[in-house]
Amino acid sequence: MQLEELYLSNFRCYHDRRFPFSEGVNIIIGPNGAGKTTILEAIHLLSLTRSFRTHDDRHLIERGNTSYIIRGQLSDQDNKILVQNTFMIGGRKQISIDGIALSSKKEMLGRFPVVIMVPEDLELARGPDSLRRAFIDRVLAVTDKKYLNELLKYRRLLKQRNAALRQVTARDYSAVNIWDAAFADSAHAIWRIRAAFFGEYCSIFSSAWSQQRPEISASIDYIPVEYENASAVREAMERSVETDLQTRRTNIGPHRDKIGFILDGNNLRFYGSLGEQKLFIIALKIAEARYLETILGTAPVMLLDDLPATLDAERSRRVIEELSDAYQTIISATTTDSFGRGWETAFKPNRISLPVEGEACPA
Amino acid sequence: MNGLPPSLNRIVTELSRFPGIGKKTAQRLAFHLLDTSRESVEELAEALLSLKANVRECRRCHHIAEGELCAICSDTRRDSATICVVERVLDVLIFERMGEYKGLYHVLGGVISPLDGITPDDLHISDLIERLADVKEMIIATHPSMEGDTTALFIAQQVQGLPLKITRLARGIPMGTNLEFTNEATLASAFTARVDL
Ligand SMILES: [Zn+2]
Repeated sequence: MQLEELYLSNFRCYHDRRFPFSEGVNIIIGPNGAGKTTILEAIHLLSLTRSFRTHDDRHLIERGNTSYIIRGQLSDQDNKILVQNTFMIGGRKQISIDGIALSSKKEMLGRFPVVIMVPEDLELARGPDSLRRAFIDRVLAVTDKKYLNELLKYRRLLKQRNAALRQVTARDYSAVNIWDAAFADSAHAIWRIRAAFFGEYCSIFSSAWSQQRPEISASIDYIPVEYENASAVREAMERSVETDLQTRRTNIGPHRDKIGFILDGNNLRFYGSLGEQKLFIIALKIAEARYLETILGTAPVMLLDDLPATLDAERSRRVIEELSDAYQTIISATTTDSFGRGWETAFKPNRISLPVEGEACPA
Repeated sequence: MNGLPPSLNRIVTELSRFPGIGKKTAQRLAFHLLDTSRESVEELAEALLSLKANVRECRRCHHIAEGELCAICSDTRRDSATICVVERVLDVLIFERMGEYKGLYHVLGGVISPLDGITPDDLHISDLIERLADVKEMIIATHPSMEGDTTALFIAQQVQGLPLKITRLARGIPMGTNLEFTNEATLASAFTARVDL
């Protein structure tokens, strides 16, 4: 899939503006606060129906207005599709494809895949397991509708069960217990999908990594929880009752899964250098792109926010080369100096220079 | 304030408390009442008072009733060996509109949802169990949500061992719906609950 043109109306600092994109490399150049990330944010929103910077759509509307429109002209070989997102204060977000309204936001997922890399993604390597769980949940939400539905159900069950645990006064477990059957079913379903996912994702990751640094071994460590079926999960929950009642939360379930990034036998979170952590994230994102392409049958668009902040010149050039070969790549940067001399002649990027009309565009 | 007599302002204030009625609509209704004959207004006032005085909850099933028992509970032609358990009064009206069902009802008054602070004790479950002595079939018709399912499960657990048949509404694909437009959750439950031909 390729983005040919993006149109923004009343979206953050963009009042009424078109941005043309070309296949291969696109570079958005401008000083900080010029609105570079806002363009990537809009593309991300078209793809995943939400921003990566805010959960509140009202914050995305240009000051003084009450609605925004994002429109993307996309093409995939001979097919052209027009995706539009509109949001009005007090209303719901409306998404349409070629003028036909989608009945649910979920329908959009997987239609226009993107992979985004922002400087904060380094936290995936350094931060807690919850970030890595959120990462795989997002990939699976796009590629597996069944997983997405199950995950939404699981999260609600977990909230209900934890609320019941907080409300239990006496040693009466029955108000908690009634959630267990549905909870165990859902937990088991999620574990099964995650285990299958990791099997496939890890092998794609390994090949992406070995193209970066073949001399060191790297892997994603996820030990699937070995419950044969939902009733085995229930038995484990029953054994955990005392702990659950004491801690007043559910201690068994995929919301506690540990996912480790392993480099040369050590946990990257504690032992990796900054350079190694960055490299790991790059391989993780390349693997994400290849995984999406394999499952969806559609090549994603790569969005690289502030690439020079993540990588040095040499590495940047190699990554751009590798990605733009297979995917439309949209990069934002304050300067291209760090990409080294001659990179423009090498990649012939489509250039978008900001700010537009001298406006500032703070997030 | 706005130059209107206090009595008019008072009725405008009261009317604008209704759901969906704004200040402007309330004023229009108030002027309409001014133009209406004294008899009609008295009729309305009387109807309002009688609503409050006479309509209450059925002592047996918690449906709305005028008197101790609701119209359904006091109808001797209905099959008292069957009870349909529903979440809200509105659900009774929906089943009655269908016209197929000839048994009695029991309105729970909600579903179990700790997140909203609703525990089994907040629902009419204990008096449901007391009603089951002569009942042959209990149809649990809570909504097909996870809270509805859990409430159904809880009730089923509570009555374990009683000699009655417990059924749950089947879920499936709505009539006249193309499979293509059926969401995955509905399709999955219809698939699981498939029947022999
Ligand atoms: Zn009744």
